[in-house]
Amino acid sequence: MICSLRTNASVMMAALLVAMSVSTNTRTTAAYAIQQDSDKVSDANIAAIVSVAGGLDIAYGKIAMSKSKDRQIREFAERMVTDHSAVQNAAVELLTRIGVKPEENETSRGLAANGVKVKEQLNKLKGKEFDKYYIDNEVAYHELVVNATENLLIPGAQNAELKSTLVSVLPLFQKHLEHARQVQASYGRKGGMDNHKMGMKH
Amino acid sequence: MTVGAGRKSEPQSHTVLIRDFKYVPETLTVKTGDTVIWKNEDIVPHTATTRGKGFDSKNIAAGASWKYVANRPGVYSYICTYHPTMKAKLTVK
Repeated sequence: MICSLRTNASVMMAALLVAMSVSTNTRTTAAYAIQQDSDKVSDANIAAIVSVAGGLDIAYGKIAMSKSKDRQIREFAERMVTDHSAVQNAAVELLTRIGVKPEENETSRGLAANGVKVKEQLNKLKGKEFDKYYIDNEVAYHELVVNATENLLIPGAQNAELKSTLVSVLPLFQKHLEHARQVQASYGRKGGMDNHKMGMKH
Repeated sequence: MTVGAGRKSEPQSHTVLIRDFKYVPETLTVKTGDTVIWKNEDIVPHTATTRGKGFDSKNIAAGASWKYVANRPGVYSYICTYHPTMKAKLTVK
């Protein structure tokens, strides 16, 4: 059962890499890539991945709150900042209590490097193009976070309390993904998506 | 506590837990005059808000509760305005 799950996780991660590279070609979202097996991730690595991933979405949200003129985008961004800050605080409290210090690995470094690219785009783009990029990235980001939490972090966690905490925050990431898709669909109906698609064809 | 017209029994208190981004139970039927308490067990804030007329808890902080006396009969679909894919229904008879 565990072997099967881990094999599926590896396949899923490989599929994600392909999907993300396609997205990158159309400049829809930044590339997210996790190239790691849950066998090789330590609790210290998980701490670093959670910290980097959460910190990035807080940073994206703060940029969106300051730049976007779209009320729906700003409200979504504010929610991401509030919720991910709560998760970060809870994670710090837990990791301090169980004595786990974040230790960077390939995955956390990869996430951070991608985050730099995303922030560059967010700082560069304006108006509807900014909104479109932000919400598309939020969908891609949360798809990855949900998949990584399910298939890499939870199976890989050794400490029982860390594992149960990851299980308990998974619904939060799933709700964020649903919400992001809802905003993305709504934004498409308002015309932003159509403009973006036209721009991508040329 | 307000008691609904024609009611014979004492008003009851009901609790809806907000846990793992769900209202538990997702459907609840109460009698007019009953009290409903939403208890937020998540680590992030939520609301219990009807789209039209009804009720609005506003912010229910992590670990906090909100109390509502159900004085008007009806079927109330409500959401968390912060996480609008969270949905539930309160029926007041």
